Amino acid sequence: MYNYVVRRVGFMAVTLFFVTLIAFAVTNILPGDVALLILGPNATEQSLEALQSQLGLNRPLYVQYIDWVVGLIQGNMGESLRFGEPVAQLIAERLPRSLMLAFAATFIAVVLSVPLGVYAAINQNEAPDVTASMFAFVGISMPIFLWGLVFILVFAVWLNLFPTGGYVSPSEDLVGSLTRLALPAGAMGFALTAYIMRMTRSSMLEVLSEEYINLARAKGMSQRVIVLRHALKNAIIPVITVIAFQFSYAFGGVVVLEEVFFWPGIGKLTLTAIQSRDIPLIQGCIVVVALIYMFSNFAADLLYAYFDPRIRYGGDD
Amino acid sequence: MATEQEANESQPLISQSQRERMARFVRKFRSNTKAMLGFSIVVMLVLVAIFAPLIAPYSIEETNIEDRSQAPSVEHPFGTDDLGRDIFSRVVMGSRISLYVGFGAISGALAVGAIIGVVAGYAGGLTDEILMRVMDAAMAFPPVLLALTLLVVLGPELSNVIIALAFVYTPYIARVSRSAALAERNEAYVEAAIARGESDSRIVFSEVFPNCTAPMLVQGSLNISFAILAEASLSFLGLGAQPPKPSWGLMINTGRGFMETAPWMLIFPALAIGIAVVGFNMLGDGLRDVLDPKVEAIE
Amino acid sequence: MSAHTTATESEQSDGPLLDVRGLKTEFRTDSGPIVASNEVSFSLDRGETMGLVGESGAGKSVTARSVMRLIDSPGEITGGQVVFNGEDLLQKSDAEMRDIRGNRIAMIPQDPMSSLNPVMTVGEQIIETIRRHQDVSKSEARELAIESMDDVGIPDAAERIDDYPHEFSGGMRQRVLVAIGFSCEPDLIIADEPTTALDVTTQAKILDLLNEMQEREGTAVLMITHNLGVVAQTCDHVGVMYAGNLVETAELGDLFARPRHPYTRALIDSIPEVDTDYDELPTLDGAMPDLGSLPSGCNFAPRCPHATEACRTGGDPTLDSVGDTTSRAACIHADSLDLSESTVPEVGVGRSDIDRSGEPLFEVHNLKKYFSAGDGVFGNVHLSFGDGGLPTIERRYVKAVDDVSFDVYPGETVGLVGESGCGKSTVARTALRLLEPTEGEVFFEGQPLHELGSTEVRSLRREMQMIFQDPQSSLNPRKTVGQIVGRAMEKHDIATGEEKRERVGDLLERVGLSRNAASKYPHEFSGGQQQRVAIAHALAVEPKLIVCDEPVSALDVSVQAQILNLLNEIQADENISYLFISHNIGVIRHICDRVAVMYLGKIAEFGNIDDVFSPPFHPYTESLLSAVPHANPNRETDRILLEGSVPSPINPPSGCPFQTRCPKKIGDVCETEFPELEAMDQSGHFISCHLSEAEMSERESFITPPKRTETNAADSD
Repeated sequence: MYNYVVRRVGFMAVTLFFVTLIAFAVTNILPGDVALLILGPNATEQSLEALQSQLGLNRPLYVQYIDWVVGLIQGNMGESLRFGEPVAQLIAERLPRSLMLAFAATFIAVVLSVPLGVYAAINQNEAPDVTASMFAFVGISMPIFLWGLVFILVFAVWLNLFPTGGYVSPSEDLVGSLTRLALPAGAMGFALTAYIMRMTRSSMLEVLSEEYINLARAKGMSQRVIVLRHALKNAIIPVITVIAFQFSYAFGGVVVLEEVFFWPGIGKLTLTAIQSRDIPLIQGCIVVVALIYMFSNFAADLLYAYFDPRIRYGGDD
Repeated sequence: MATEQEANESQPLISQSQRERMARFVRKFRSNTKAMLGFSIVVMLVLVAIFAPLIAPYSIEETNIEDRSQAPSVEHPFGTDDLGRDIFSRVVMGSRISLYVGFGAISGALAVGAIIGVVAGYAGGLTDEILMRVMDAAMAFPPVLLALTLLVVLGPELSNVIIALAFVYTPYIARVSRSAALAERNEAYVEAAIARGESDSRIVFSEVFPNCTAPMLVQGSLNISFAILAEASLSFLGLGAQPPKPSWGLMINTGRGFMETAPWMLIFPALAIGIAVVGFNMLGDGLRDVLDPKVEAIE
Repeated sequence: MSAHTTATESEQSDGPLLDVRGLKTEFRTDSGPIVASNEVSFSLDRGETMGLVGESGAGKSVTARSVMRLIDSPGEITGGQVVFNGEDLLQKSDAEMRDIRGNRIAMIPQDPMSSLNPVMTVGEQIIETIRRHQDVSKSEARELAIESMDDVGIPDAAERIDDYPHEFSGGMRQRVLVAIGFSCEPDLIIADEPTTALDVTTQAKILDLLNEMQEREGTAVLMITHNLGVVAQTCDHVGVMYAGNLVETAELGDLFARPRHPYTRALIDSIPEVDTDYDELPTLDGAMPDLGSLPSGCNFAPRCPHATEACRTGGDPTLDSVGDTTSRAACIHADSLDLSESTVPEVGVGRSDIDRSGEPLFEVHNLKKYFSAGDGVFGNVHLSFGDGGLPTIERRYVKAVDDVSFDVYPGETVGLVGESGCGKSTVARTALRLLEPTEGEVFFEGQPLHELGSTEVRSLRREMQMIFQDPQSSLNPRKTVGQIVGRAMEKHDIATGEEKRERVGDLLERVGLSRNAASKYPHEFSGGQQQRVAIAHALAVEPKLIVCDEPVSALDVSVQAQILNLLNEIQADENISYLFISHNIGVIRHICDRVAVMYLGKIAEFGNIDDVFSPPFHPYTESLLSAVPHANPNRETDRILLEGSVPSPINPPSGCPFQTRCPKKIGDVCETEFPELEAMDQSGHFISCHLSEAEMSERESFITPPKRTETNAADSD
């Protein structure tokens, strides 16, 4: 276990290096002058040069990169061009809101999808399975923003149950905060449910065809014990990875979903940054989102190890 | 000396076996409802896209203020938008954009990702480790977000959308190709080829690669649906296709503002996206069922 | 009748414990139903052991699973009765059936690696069985579970009960499965190939355990196996299955002495026995027919040497009593055929002597191959905690091959034998430089293979070919047989175009296939035919040496014999050398001139076949040979059962690698000093052991009677 964790940390460090490299590269190396992008095509030569030296763009790329990474480690991501505030501060303010949304969505998805997936698997190719699979198909076939719009149309516009959007801090008004969270989290959770359910189903099906399930039947175990004690414990292990992946996928979805629900999180911030060509802010935002992806995957690896005794008690032989 | 009986000794046709193989694939494909349904939807979409100008009854750019925001009718089956343009015509023409982006981006991703994946999987060791860490890093960025960032730099144009999405989906293809190559690498025929004295490059491209195409095809087909979704999202956010292009995502973005007064502006493009995505998803899923030997054993 | 059948109730009924009558199990497929078990009838008394034997696909497992009603869709039991304790199990409700499974009828599955749930401790898996069928408290069940683990010989059961399956070796896991099987003291145990996945020394221990448990508990056993040796060692009577039919049932002694079905005769004959010298194994043509396309008459008729027109057209014969014997056979000629004589021309002239006066073709000196432990680039980096200080990083290695030397002369077959993990396959791959050696020298016709660059090695590959264990895996599924075989010729500029096509055709005929096989894909052939293609592929470049890595292990015995004969024939014609790797001692005995016995990456004993199979023995060779179950019920071998399991090659024992398990260990010297290979005589017989020659010669030869003694009289004493 210990060796497993150490090895994972090692992997993460290497990946992290490449993450910063990519984040830096897509905004700096690709064709297109950053200063020109920011100022627009009508900029004068002087203003371009001034901005270039202000941003340090006239230095060699590797110097810029090292500078940027060193800043990143110190928590300094530069200053936003649009807001004139430190990028770190802008992100710190908005990140918790997005995390709240992603957590809520993942929670809804897990609660719905795992039982559904198990149920579909044990009724393979029968009515409940076909229905659930069709539902899953529809779920993943619509873009998340569309689910957002549908939820607004149904629950806010027609049924008038929830507000159409906006954000209230839970510390100010818990109920108001939750009612505003309900729709975006619900829409996102709905889309995620489809993925996790499919994964749970196929993982269950694979486990149910294992030899040890046959032996459990030969021991006279009931179907309920076989499914819940023998199969689910094994099947859930790969699902954990998918859940972690979906959590970070939810983070990708928030860019669009926050736009739909006027949710002032990191997604909306990124979009603003993108629309105003605020390069330092864009870099900061995408690195933070990638970090969240990596940490949630790391957490999944740890959970994986915890649930799988072959790793938990392996490794240190 | 013992001789084993041969099943069919009759006609020594060179391509007979190949044809049989193909025929078996077609038979299995046909008996798989999901695959057939997906395939039909995709074929229909492609036909619509090819003949779009013939199918679309109205111009998609000409505005007509008098006819604006009309509900679906015989003249305008999907209604008209806020500028009086026929939504049916725009949805039909929009299929071209979606398919163009979907096929274009995934062809690019396949071309690059498959090679990276197969080489990494076959080579193993440090090459594999580095290539896969880079792919991991690229996958740490949510696809839409990474594509958005790339578009900021490249500029919001349809061709750039394809480049950005090809970049974004390369690691997904690479990953699948790598695990396929990794599995093939452990097959004895690879060792037999080494023992025969073949060079590495010949083994990778002539022996291993052809055996990895099935999972690539499945992943490619599934990723086309993701790319179509991503294009819609990008256009929805204003960084994909630009007005007045009839991109489905863009149409939904406009339709949002008229959700209560003219919901058809939103519903029909949304349905179109749904159908396209379901089609490619079903095709990919069905292909997996048909091509996966594990599934074959269960049938 | 209560759902819970208690042991006292069940013992009251008369008649056989299990009476299977006309049991039929079918599987629905796209091309119509397939009958996997066709009106099978047999019975089994209390405390008795019956073997159900047959090649893969014969329907023996399906029959066994049908008895427990464990047939999954698309399979279905479509007819017959399974009378157990006087009641037809096929009439029971699902709930009643669940009360019987694991309780009155238990199963011991084949594969110990995949049959235990990896996320549950072994204790949980035993306890749940006990609690399912017995009204006991949790702590009582735990006590019972520890007791049953003790019974099956798991050391320190009380501590190990909370361990997970992966913490046990294969043999120990199989013991856990035996413990689960016997935990509720069932009346009947169905053992489905319980030792197939195990090494021969472990197999011997598990078979002993099964016999012992059965005697103690008075349990009846239905033993499913493909191995007639296992049958001979364990069963009271036997059923032989072929293509879904039970073709013969007989008392054990009768089956071997007077088989009544030609298939039984052929099956017995095609096993290469350790103690017999053959020139050529008697074989059956072809392979068992596909259950989807059975011949119209007797299923066996197309392969049967005694078949008449009546056999081919008369429909499937039923299983009837033969004369006034207790045997039953499904053969219309059973009454008239006398099959008591083996068709084997046992007394052969022996193989031609190898001329070892010249230079060896292939020489391996002090070869070592260490793998890094774990996967990936950093997989072998291991943190270890010293004396409470900071963890230290070390790189760990698996010493797969550790200082191995041998040579192969032209026209000779040298065998490498040992149990899984002993490094025999790695020796071959490293010697051919399919893997880079860590250390050591390899010479091919005097050329230093270990020093050559990759281009030179590649061109030298023409001289050295390889045949693999799994023929299906060794042929690229996307290429036709013609492309596969032809490619080798093209690669080494032997032939192209029309000439190539000609030669491919010739070669395919040479290995017993038809010319038009060239246009087919590998998956269109049976396993035996695929192995023939693989042999053609190896022969295509006219090599001087072929490395055969377990070439017949994946094949059924009747097909195995065909391939062995083919290899021998080719060697006789072309004077090719073989380096032959196998775990099967009978096969090694049959095909090799000299053999190296490997244990934990090192050679324990090396020499001529006759010398290795006769005293003096390395203690490991001795236990290995004694553990082989002979397909001869009259032959009692006094088996040496090894303690424990093979140590990890990451941390091999100090001194002699075998010292941790050696039954003849002397003492400290074994733990501290590695015994170098020492010549026993002038004939090139080497043993790596501290024992004196006399101490290694306590047992008589395994070869009875010795057919040929080319060595001097002194060693056979």
